[in-house]
Amino acid sequence: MEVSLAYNQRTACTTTLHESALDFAANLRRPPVRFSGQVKEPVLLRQLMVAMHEVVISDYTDPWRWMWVLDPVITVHPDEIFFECFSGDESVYARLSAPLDAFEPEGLVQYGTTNIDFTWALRSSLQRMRSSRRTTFAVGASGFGVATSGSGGGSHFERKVTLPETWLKGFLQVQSALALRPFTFDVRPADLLTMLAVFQDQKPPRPPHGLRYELRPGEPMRVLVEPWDTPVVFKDSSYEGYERTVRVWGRKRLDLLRGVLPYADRVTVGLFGRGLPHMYSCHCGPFRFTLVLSGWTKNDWATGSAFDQLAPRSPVSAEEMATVYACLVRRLVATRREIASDTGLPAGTVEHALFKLCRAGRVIADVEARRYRLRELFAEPLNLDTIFVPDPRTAVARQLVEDGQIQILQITPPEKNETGRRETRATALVTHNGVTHEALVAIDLDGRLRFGRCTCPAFRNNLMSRGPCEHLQAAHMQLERQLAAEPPVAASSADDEGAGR
Amino acid sequence: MGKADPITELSTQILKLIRETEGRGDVLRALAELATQPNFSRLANIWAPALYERDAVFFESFLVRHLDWGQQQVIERLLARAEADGCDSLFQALYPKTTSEDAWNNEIRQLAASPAPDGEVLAALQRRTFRGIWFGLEEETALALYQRGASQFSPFIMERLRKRWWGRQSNFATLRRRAAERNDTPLVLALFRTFATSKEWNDEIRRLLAQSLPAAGFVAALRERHPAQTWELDLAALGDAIEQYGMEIWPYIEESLQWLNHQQGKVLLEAAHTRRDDVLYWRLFFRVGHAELWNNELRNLLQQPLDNAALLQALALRTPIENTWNRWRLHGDVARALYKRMPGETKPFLEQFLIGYDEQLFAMATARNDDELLDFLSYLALRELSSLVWRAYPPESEHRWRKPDPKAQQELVQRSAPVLARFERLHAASPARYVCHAANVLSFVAAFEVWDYWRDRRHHPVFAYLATQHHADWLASSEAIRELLESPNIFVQITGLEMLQGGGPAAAQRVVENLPYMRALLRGRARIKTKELVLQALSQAALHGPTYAAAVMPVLEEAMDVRGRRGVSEKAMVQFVRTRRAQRTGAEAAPWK
Repeated sequence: MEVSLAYNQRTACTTTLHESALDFAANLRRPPVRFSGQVKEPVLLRQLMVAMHEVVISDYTDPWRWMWVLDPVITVHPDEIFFECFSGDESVYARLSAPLDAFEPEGLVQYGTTNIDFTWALRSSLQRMRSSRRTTFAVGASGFGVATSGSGGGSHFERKVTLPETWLKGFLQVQSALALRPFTFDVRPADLLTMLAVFQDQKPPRPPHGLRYELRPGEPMRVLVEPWDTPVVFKDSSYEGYERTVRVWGRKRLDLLRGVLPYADRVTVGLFGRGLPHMYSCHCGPFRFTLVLSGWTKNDWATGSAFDQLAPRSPVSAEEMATVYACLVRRLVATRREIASDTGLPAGTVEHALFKLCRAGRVIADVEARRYRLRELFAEPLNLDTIFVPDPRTAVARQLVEDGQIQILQITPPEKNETGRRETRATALVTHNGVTHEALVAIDLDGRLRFGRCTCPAFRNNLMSRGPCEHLQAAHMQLERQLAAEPPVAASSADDEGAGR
Repeated sequence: MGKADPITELSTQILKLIRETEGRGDVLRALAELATQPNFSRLANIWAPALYERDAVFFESFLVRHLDWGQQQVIERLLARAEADGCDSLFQALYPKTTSEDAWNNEIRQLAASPAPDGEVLAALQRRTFRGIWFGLEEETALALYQRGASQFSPFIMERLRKRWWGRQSNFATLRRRAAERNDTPLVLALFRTFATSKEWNDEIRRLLAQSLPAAGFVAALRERHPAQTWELDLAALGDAIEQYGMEIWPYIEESLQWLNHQQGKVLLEAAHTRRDDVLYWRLFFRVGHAELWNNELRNLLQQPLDNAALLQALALRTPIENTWNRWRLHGDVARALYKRMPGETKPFLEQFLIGYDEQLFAMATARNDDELLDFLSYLALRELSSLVWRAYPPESEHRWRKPDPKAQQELVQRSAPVLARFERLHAASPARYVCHAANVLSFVAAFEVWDYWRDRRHHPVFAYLATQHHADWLASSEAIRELLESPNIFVQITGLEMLQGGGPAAAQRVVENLPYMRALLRGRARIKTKELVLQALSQAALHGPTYAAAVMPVLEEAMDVRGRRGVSEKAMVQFVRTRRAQRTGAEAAPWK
């Protein structure tokens, strides 16, 4: 996919004895976005912007790939401004957000999303920002900077970036991942720094190189760093859910937080599941820097993971999606409940519509605030059919269901679930190519697949890190059919506050 | 009975491990240990097939990591099995270890001639395309594929066209002819891009120019024909295109011609000059020019009879968009001339492009009392004179090869004198003003400017003055100390921390005001000695009274929890406990050591 970027100037950070002016050049090929305001905490903003640039240029597989990465996007909303970027190796997504009260706004504000020019030269200029200097932050509002700086034979310049399909798909997959609401908990920055020190200070002699988060009810949460199994206890944390261990990989990229953690007040960790992405949201004063890592460096979002298979499955038509989208165009930011109330659509339908809109890069899920925001990643809507080729396993699963190859053995409703989770569990036998596999699926109150287990070789080798196998998908579909045929169960829907914990 | 042969013993151990151990993870961990033994690689013919049979997917990374060129036969056998079983990932990972460009071309010719369906052949071709592959098709191979199926195999052919710069050269004339006969435009263009000579390219561009296409169409046509290699390409025809289309050509040049040699640049600049397109000329200039030329152009500009507004506009056109690697260095005489002409307006320009310390410019700025520019020039002096310190005062360990240089020492004193004189004048007029400007000088220091801190503190006159003089005035200024602690450069931060070591009420107040930065230093990757400076400052502040202690102790307590090689040492922890006890009881704590 080719993206055309045009700027009427280079982003500049000009500093004098008493002032700094950070003036972001906005992409002229997008609808205008405008914001200008005085920054209340310039040094924090400086540190976090440098950290974001680190993500843009980071690539653990090819150090020169950052040269064709898409410029970061900035979104201005009535309550918040946020930047987003994605690394060249498709394994790290970063978001830097600031509430509008971290600024003293001046002048006209135009909401929307655009790309910004962010270069090495800007990164050097940022280092001169200080709290003693009145620092102005502006997007799309030229007039700062001095005429002699950075004109270069006419200030207008253009760039075409050819985004590989895998990069594009990866960026979109992370949007859909955020919509799945991970399990989150807060930790102290000191504890996370201790965890990083364990594997940064010594080279692991052999695999494995993962992190095992151990969650035991009534105890502080802790993580074991492989291969030494060194425990790091998250002090002041507590856990009251069911006992589990979540193993994740790709810890090397946590190094990208080294410039952020020293300034963080607390960190919210988000876990999606074994081998699946993990999230670290650092709260630094009014700012929030969120890093989302794919399962492991080679399991990039694009080719390995398949989050859409974990998505809610309530049917949603194109018209319903358009209705949900129009609601967000009006509101810009809303909770799922607000959208359901505004549109009159069922919660499950709204959830699935939001998931698809996130995957299309048109909406973003704010995990911690449990809200959804309108955010158009690209100037033109994408043709998702060419980007997301349908999973062949889904077609196989549908056929198995049609052929009656699924036998549901037992269904355990949420109220009888001994684990305490609000999930419906079912065990099933799935016969495929003459071989019968045992499948166990657990779906939440929104119909999303939360847990699965199968005896087939594909599952044994990959578990859920590449999405559910065709047998789990088939069992899921069959379970949904049977539940739909049964009388409705009077259980409250997963609300925006508690779901996922 | 004699002792068992160690290789046989190891072989038995490996097979038993792979076949009888239940957990795959246990097998992997045990194998990782065994792999460190010297005979392990010799037994690849034993463990590789066994692992493949056990679980090709799970053990893929182990196989890839431990098989190499020395085990060709083992790899080839595994490749055959992996291809037959559809283990594409393993195939693609092992294939590069055993093939060469010639062998690869041979295999592809065999595939082109095979009776297997086209889909299978294509899949086999894709399997043989691994990450980082640099192989190119020979013409014979490309023809074989093209003959087998033009539409099915064209995309693969186009992907793997490579022009060779050594050995036998082929310009793929036969394939180009065949593609043209079939009107296979995409392949014709792909072959053109890879194999067209400079003359062919120029002829083609002139042919397009003769058609007087709309600009967008011409640029699109240029992109389609853009050669794979442009370094020695004659750009005469592109020069003609510039004369015809002007600025509309720029998008093509910007995205496609990143690196141009001197001759190429000259051709394009002349064309832009002929067209009298200043904007295009200067964009091209910053693509192909260099600092000497640029300074000459600026000298010429300053000699023109322009008013200030026109001069500024012309200067804007002559300003590079960025100055990566300090490529565009402003000469001293040009800087002085610009400053003399428009002191206020040209300051940002000077700050961006003046790399070296210019004493005459310093004198001019002093005459104008231009403190902002003087701060910047003082920073340049700080940076430039640091290398002189290295010559003047080499470390004692190097005295065997390099003695201290008295001439360099004298030069150091002479060149520092104006800067020091200014500092003295500022301080005499107002200590607060001195501190403000001293902090501004240090604010120019970039994040990774590395110094020999202690050597410079001892021997660098300018730095020593800034770091060691007037501490009381620094401590009296909240903004100045904060300026130091907020710096992205660790040595500037250390300068601030050193000032806080003296203790006292002012230092305590400064510490409390800057707790977030002290905390950040303790949490970050600073060295232990730097962290001890922070702890010392915090500890002294805590002992100044309950208000200070209440603010400081949480930071100290948290620091004790950060472990690791750069975490707080045990010695520091003991001192922390003593400080806390002293703070609670009101007793005096021993100084931090």
